[in-house]
Amino acid sequence: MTDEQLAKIVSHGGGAEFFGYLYDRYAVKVYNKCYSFVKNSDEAKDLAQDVFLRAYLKLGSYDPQKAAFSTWLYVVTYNLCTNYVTRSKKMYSHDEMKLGKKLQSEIMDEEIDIEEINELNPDKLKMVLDKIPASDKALLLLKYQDDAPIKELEALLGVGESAVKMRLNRAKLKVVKTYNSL
Amino acid sequence: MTKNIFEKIETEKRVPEDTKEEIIIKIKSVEKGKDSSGLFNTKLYGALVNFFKLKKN
Repeated sequence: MTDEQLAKIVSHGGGAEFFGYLYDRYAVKVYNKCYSFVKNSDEAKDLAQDVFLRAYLKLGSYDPQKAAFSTWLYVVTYNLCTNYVTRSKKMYSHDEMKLGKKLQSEIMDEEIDIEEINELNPDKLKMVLDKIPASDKALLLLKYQDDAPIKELEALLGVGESAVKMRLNRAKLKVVKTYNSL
Repeated sequence: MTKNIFEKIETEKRVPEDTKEEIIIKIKSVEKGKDSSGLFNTKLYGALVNFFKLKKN
């Protein structure tokens, strides 16, 4: 049975048992995504539970015509992670907040090719992703780690193609600038 | 073409074992809450309406 079929069954009152199948398929991915934001297994577990509970409650609003279930679930995941990190400001010291604002004001419309980022050192990139705004990190992971198509991002984020591409490019620019400043 | 670096940095940590059980318990309690509110909104509400109608008559 596909994810979308399972989602339909659950949203029509299928209940916890069918939702359990969706959990089994995505638990590792969702947990690791949460972990990549909070860097702590207890918090990652709590966040992952919130993600699945939120997904269960919002399943009625999921539209398979707009996006794959996986993309929809990852958007739910990143939204919660971004809110959590931003609210707790745990990952951002005052200096890092200032750096984020400075980067924002410096961002021009310079095009960054993903190949330029693929050449970077992976460990250093992880550090960089924790320094840029969580919403930029989330967008980059959605596109380049989860392979979400631009069309699905447009539908789920409620913005046009050019806005998605512009946000992606700005996020990549922040990565490059922050990387070079380390 | 270089390998996608975002895939390289993906972690594969094990999910704590009790996570699923705790989520299912939460979902079941949400379902129970829905059932209760359904009862209140329909059956109980209907019973109260009938009660007051009868009283009026």
